[in-house]
Amino acid sequence: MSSSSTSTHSWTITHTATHLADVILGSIVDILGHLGIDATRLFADWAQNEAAITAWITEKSLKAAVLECHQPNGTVSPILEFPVNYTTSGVADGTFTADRASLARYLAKLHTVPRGTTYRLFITFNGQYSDQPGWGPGTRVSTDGMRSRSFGTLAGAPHASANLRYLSKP
Amino acid sequence: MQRYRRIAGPPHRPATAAWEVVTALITDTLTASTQISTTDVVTALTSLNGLGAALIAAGHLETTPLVLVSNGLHVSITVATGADSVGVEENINPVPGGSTATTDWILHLPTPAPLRSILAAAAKQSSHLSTDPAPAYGSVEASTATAGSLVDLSTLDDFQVSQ
Repeated sequence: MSSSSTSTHSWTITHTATHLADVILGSIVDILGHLGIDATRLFADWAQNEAAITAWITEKSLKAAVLECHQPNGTVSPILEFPVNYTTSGVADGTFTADRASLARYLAKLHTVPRGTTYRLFITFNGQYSDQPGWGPGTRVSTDGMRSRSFGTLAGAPHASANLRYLSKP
Repeated sequence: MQRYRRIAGPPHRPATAAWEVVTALITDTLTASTQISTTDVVTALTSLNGLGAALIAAGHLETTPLVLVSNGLHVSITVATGADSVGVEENINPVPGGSTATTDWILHLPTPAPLRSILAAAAKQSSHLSTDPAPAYGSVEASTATAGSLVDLSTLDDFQVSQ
């Protein structure tokens, strides 16, 4: 017996959250790979992080995902922020986009970081948020004095979109 | 037998779930062969845990496939994401021809630049994983046919010469 399915759906906020969570995490993987930072821990925790970010976008509590790169000399640079903007009307045009081609061109212009650089992931919130396994309180480094460049919209979905901002030491 | 399979990724399902569908497809196909056990396949794919989902999430399996090759079996697997995942007609049944698969099966992995080194490291953990480009379907068939032929083609050359 043959089993097949066709994905025709009415898209929900969960679909939006699934899309944005995976585009953000997939972009972080590519960024770490491009910068030459070991992403082994990210692969090990993939399912946990994917579920957590999806849950927070679904409840619209996630304000931004943040990737900090910690260099061996103590410098924290670059920092990549993925702010998420939610539509107020609930459902927009019903499309799912991801500008990976532009991201690849953008990454090609970035400098690598010194060997031994590690990363930390943070989530910032809009008000109340649910607890998620594997995540706890943390403190971001200050971004005062860092140079900021906007990539623009990284991904779009019916209920929200994700942007990308790159901050570096001058 | 050359086959293609396209799986629906995010937002249809999370990348982790899409990777589980891919691994189930590979496992179910190969274990149709009496020579290959589920444990063998699961063990070989273990080093891709997390990494497989990352490949999907980053869109690296959109157009560049995973290619499963074994004894005439040649299966290209891609995963659609975003708008492209809408309308994907999935066939997740074991791929016909799996029963002929042999223990020297290979899963060829794509090598997108940002993940090249981590994929190469993962491939080193199993003789069933490779970052080498997959052989073209025709070349696999030709080499298999030559290797398995009941006729020694070189004797025909001799025959022609003697005429």
